[in-house]
Amino acid sequence: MNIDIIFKIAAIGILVTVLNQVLIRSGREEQAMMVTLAGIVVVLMMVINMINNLFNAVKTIFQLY
Amino acid sequence: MKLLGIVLVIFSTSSLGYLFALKYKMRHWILKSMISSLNLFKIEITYSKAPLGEILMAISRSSDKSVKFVFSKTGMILSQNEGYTAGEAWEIALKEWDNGYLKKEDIEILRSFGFGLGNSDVYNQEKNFDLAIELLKRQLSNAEEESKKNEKLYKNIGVLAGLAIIILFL
Repeated sequence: MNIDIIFKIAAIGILVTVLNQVLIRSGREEQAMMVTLAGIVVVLMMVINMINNLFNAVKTIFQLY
Repeated sequence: MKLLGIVLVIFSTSSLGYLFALKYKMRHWILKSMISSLNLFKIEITYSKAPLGEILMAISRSSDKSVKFVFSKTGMILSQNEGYTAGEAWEIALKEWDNGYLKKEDIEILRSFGFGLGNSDVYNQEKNFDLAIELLKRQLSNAEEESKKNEKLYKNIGVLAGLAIIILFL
């Protein structure tokens, strides 16, 4: 279990926030929305494997096969 | 090795952003210097009665280097006495000068200005100049608005896109 991914997600969060602000400031709300969504999707892609592992672990612990 | 990659990615994306920003800045700058050169041209035409070729050469010496080419090229064509009218020479120069920074409408204004150039008396010439300058001024305020909106945006997006790529692939 490495801790790096947390920092990575935090960095993406900061980046998306700044980009969002820049786009909104120049009057492009739609693109800002798209950027936010893209950020969410990217982060989800990164963590989806781990969530899967977590679910499997829960299943194994409570023997829900 | 990793550091080198980071530096290269950031550098390339931010320079791309600057390049896009430059496009807006250049349009604004070219329109501005074109207006001041045309003003000078108008004054030269109405007060000194020198031949058009000489006037154009004089203007090209004193105008900004972004618009210098049109005036010097037109002046050159006219002073070579090859049988071109002023309007034709202006159009040829305009075609060679077009470097992608100006929009189609701006070029169209300059071209229609060329049609009226040098084929009537001083009074009507002055009106032709006034019309072109007025239209260019409108384009200028338009360009100003656009550059204010987009210049900073493209610069920021360039740098931020580089950072995003780095974070994603690190």
